[in-house]
Amino acid sequence: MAAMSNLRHLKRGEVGPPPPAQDVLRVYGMKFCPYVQRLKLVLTAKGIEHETVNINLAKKPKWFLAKNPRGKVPVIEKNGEILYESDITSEYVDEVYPGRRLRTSDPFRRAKEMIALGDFTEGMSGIYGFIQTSNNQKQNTHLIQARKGFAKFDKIMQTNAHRYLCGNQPGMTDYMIWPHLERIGATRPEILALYPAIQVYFGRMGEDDAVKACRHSDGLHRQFIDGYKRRNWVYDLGTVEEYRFVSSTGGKLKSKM
Amino acid sequence: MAGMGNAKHLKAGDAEPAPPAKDVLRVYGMEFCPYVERLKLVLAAKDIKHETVNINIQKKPDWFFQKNPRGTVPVIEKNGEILYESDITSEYVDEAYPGRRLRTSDPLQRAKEKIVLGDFMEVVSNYYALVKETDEGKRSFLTAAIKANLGKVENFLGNTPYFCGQRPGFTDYMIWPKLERILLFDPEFIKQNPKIESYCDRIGDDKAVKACRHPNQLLLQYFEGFKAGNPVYDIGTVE
Repeated sequence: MAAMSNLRHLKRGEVGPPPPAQDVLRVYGMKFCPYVQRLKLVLTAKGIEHETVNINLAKKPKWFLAKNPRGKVPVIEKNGEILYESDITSEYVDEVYPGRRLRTSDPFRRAKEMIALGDFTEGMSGIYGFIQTSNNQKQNTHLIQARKGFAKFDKIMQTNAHRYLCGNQPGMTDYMIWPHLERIGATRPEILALYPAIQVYFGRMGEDDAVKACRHSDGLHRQFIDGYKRRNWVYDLGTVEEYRFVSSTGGKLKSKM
Repeated sequence: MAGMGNAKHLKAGDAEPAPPAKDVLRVYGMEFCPYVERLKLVLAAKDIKHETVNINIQKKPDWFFQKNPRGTVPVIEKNGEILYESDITSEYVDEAYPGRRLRTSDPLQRAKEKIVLGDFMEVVSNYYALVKETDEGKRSFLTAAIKANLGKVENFLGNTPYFCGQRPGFTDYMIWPKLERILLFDPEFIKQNPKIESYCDRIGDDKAVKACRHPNQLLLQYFEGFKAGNPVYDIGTVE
């Protein structure tokens, strides 16, 4: 859980943090964002040191929008360079930092993983759509889409010869998928139970160290998502920590309240 | 145009073609599809021999869904293996076949190219929404969004001749097909951005672009049918 960072989510009107010190990798995130978690899983799996600044996404600071005009997390910043999008940032850190390469090297296998990810995403979009609407008819449409996507993904996992989609250790595509699976497991485990191969995969991924380090409890997920559904976004749930920025001169600054 | 394949577009009821011969790369496409064109540009730039089977995407044959359950083009098939999606297939052939590697090797630069590709795809999705939108307020909003994102693309181009640097590369070929269409259907958007405008001239001289390019008249004819909800695929030379 600590890997997702318990730092308070900064909002509009609050002073922005100083830039990261030289050569320090900074991640702008949100504690409960599955897309941030993708990047965090990669960073954790590779042991990449970094600092985090969490952003209140319902009240985004202007200084954050200046970094990413799309206003989304994750964003990474290092030595004045900025990148965003979960897949782009994850691929980037995987390549420029040492340690186990998470991206599958065989081009055909990697292409198949991308297709599987697309099928899984189709399923997930259905679930997120289902969660976010209270209209019964729309819920049904979303469920149909969810089932289509998960059925395809389950089929792929049934014929998968390895423990994980990427091989016998979790790889990039596994980490792109996991955050969403974690949330289904926390909120709608009965859906996972419909897909035996996905259920087995879910259990295996749960044993991975990076997954464990970044995982929230089911209860905390449900708490966040309940607020989300009611459009009452509360980000500072669970343990909340305060910033202690190090200035470029080396002295420690407390964050401005 | 030959690069896009002139084969008749097979539709529901038409027999499934025999599988490609051993080691032959087959592309399932549609002559005017910009996503198929992305792959075709990569194939042309790398001189990768392949055969084409065109699909009538309004009346898809059942057998096509056996190959790609999503029913979209492009699809590639070789020795019984199938892949689909324009970015996935393009990246695959770039890596699996010899010749100039089109994908940018520097990871930071490649990441920035993907970001600008995303900005451009926002333009595309807003543009195609604009084409169908009648509400003036929404049209205004979409137009402003298109201009803002084209501005990001303009800034990215800066002083480099191509998105990938000194020569057209992967990102250029992912962008070109839709950029070509916006240039043709709504040149005003492009004229407001001098770097993009001169980019369009410059990339028109690229060998792969020339090989895959339709005459403007044909593309306009197809687009009229598309807008009316009645696209006609077998226009121009049909084999």
